[in-house]
Amino acid sequence: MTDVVQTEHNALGEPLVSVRNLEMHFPINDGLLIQRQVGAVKAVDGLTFDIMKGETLGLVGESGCGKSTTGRAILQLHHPTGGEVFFQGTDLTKLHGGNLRKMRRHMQMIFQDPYASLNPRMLVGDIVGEPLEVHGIASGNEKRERVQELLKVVGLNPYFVNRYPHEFSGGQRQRIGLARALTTNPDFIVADEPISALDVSIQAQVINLMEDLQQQFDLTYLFIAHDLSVVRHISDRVAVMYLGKIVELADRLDLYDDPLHPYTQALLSAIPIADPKLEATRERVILKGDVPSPVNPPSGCNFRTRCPLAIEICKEEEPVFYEAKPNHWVACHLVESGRNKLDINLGIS
Amino acid sequence: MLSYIIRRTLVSIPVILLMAFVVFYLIRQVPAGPFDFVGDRALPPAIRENLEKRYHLDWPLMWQFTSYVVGDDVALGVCNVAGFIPGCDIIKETPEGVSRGLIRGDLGESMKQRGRSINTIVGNSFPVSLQLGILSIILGLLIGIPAGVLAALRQNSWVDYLASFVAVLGLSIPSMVIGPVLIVVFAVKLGWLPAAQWGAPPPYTLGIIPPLTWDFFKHTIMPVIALGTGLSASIARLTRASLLQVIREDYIRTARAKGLKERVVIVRHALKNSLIPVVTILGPMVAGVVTGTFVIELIFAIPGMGKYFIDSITNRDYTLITSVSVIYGVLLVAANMLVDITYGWLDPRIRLD
Amino acid sequence: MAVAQQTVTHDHVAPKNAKGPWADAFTRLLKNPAAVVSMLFILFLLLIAILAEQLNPYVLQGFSDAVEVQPAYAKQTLADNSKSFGAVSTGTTTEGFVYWLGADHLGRDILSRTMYGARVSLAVAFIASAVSLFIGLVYGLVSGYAGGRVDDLMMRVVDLLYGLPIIIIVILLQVYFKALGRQTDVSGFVGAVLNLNRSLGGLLFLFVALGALNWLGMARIARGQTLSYKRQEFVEAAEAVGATPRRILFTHLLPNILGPCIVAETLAIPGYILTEAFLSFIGLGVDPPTASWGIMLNESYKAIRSSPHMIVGPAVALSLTVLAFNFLGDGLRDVFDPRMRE
Repeated sequence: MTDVVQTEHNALGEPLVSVRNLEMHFPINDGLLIQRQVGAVKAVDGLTFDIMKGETLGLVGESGCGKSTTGRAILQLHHPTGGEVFFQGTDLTKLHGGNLRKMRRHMQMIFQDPYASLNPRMLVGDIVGEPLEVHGIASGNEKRERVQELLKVVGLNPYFVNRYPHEFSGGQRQRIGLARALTTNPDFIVADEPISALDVSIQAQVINLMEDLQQQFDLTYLFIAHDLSVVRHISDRVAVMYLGKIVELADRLDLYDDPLHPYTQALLSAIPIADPKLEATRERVILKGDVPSPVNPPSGCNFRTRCPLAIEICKEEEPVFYEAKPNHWVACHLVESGRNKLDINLGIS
Repeated sequence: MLSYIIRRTLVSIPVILLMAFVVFYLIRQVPAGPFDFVGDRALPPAIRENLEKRYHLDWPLMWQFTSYVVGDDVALGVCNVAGFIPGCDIIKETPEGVSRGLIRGDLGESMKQRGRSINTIVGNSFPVSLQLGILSIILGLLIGIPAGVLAALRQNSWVDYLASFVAVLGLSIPSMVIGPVLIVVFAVKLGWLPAAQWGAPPPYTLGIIPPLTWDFFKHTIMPVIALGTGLSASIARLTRASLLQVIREDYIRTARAKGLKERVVIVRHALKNSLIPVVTILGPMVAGVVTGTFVIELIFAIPGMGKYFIDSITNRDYTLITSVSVIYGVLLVAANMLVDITYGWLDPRIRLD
Repeated sequence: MAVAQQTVTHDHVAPKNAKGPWADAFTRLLKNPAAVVSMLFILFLLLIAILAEQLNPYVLQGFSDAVEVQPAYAKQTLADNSKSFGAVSTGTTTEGFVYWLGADHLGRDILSRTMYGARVSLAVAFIASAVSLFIGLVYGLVSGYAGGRVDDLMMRVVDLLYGLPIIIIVILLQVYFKALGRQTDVSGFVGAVLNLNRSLGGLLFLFVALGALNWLGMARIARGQTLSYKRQEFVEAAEAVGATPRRILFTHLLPNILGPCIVAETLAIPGYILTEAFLSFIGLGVDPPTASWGIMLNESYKAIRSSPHMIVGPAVALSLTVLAFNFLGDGLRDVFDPRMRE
């Protein structure tokens, strides 16, 4: 992946999306005749952050940490069980039915699986043009022209409108997904691991295309990924998630230079470095144990069961998410005392 | 497991009662009652009225059903305590009744074969149908499973094609065709086997096991073949498909990679798992066998429950129809439950609780 | 903008296969000889059923129509008592009429009745399956898409009915319908329905009974399919785009689940045909004198000792038809669900 021209976004613009105490608990039901709730999967458990206009916020975490759920809960594809999501000042969680559907013009999503996210029984033209029909913007010839234009924008042959999705490769399909997301000219796009199902050779193309489109259409991205190496290039700021909570949120450079949370450090230690000399000195932290169940998360700090530095207080008190440095937020008891650094060489110069 | 069985049984009771009521209601809505005619002759009104009174056909429908389920005496008792319930005036006028109620194991009294209890009728005819049904299923399994296994192991060979074709053929020729053809060939032409009747009259050992005499078997062979052909065909098809799927699983490849003999791989690892789907269709199959016995018992003049059921419909023998339906309902529910239990036992991933 | 150029200059490779999923499936079906022969046979049968009047010289449906061939009756049965299957293939000629398959106990030409019988079986095959497909599809689609408590409730109803010996209920329904059908003095809507049923030879009520018997399985399949597609991302994508639930149900889910459901329904058709034959066999199907293979089989088993030739026509016709639908169903299943192949 060649280093692309760094976009000059001001990370401290005005917020486009504001998430406040977002909670997404999925009920676990049981019962023979009458179903009753016996527990909940706390997929997202109290998130608060802003996404600034024009920026790309990277959201990173292991599988099952709730990052995809967060993206869907922001777009109201899952109806959150708690908290608020403000989009341009409107609380989306209060909207229902038609009002919500109208709002969807302005926020779109790109999906992880380019095979499952396109309806196999629909023509590409109908898939990309669906938002136009749903919102009554255009139909017939007008729709067709607009779709062909969009296909060109994402680098596809405009004649593909009459083809079915199964005729395309993964990368091409992801471009179709991108075109669909752009159809209504949205302001905000949630990209849910858009490249992790693609071949490595295709990944860079799609990332570059996304950056290009961001400039062209003045887009704001929430870019979800499962490792830090991918978001490094595209993000302005990065949030790290663990077990339904954000543990660290900072400017891209700051996060990679000075990761405060032990979990972030562990994730960073997993990234190989291109320079062989530095790579030779790089040490990896292998976290012990499995991610605990979100049905029954550990007391105090979520991460303490796997944290090599955990002390007594981590068990008893839940750490507060606070601004430890300017624009650098973290939720860890150890930061103030300075005992938060793992004793490893991350190979960061 | 025990609690599962108990709970399933408890859930089934209202379902069966509901079905009994539907049957009870529907048959009473059909024009022409059981006592309108004897043969072609209309019964004198006075006699008809007497008979209808004896079987409580003058009662309101809900009361008739209540009495059918819990007994006349209970219905009367309720009316004595709470006489204000609509219909109680009629009930109090007819104190003497014939129904002791389903809950006490009394299936009632036949309206056409007057004086004969349905318990006796069912007791004599149900084992016959059961023998026919069980022998047919056994035949189906004995032919179907080996044929299916053979076809799967020799996939895409002539054995496979032949077995698959014969299976579709067996599936397509209904027992109402096979039965008469067998009769023509083996009874009429060759005279080897009797064309009608059942070889062993009740009572049976343990109520179901017939004497294993030639007389029994020579009456059984043709009906069982007529009924079992379709079963073996569908079992063969399912076994083949299921075994083919299992053979492709990773754990079978692993077993082979370990160097196990092919026979051991198939018998120990593949076969048991491939039989799981076969078990699941045994439930619906029981329903099919019930339908099959209606036809087979008619064709071979076998004194089984199916024949009684069909006859009782023409006769409008209300009680017999309802009670035989209840027996079929219980049979099916029990079969499904047995299948689910077996399923849980074969496939440890399935927990019954 | 080097980046932009890079992205625009590729991915113009035109994919080869431009056929839609349905056309594609049909092409694959044509490669299955058994399915093709079956389709041709069913078309042939359909032609016979439609043109039954035009194709056969004796309009021999009912008693009144049988009058003109009545002279055949005596000789026919006599001949068949002495001969047997042999007499069938050669045909018996009486006063210029050729009975290719012989005559039945009332002197009616069996070939003609067999041809008329195709009407009943095919009507059952197509109409009853369409009814069951429609009810089951809508029920399963709604249940699966709604999810949660609605789904729970709807599926409990299905489970409840599934556990019952529905054939018993169907038999009882047919008894009821048939008794109802004999009433002539009913007016209004019910009267109109009764008249329609009578003019269809009792077929209408048969459809209702068979539909009641068979939509349950379809509802389960449709729900299962809906559930599996509902979780796919393209449904979420449609939701994200702002599509209404109705649009998601009918534009996105329905076309996807339709294929497997049609396959399942085709595989169920032999069951409908056999159930009709069964009901007619026990005297609860179509009303005589309407010819149905089930009724004909019933008549022939009763006369199996004296006139064994009577069974040939309906037996062969019924078996071949069921065989054809079985092969067609298998073929369709292979096309739509390649995992089931081999």
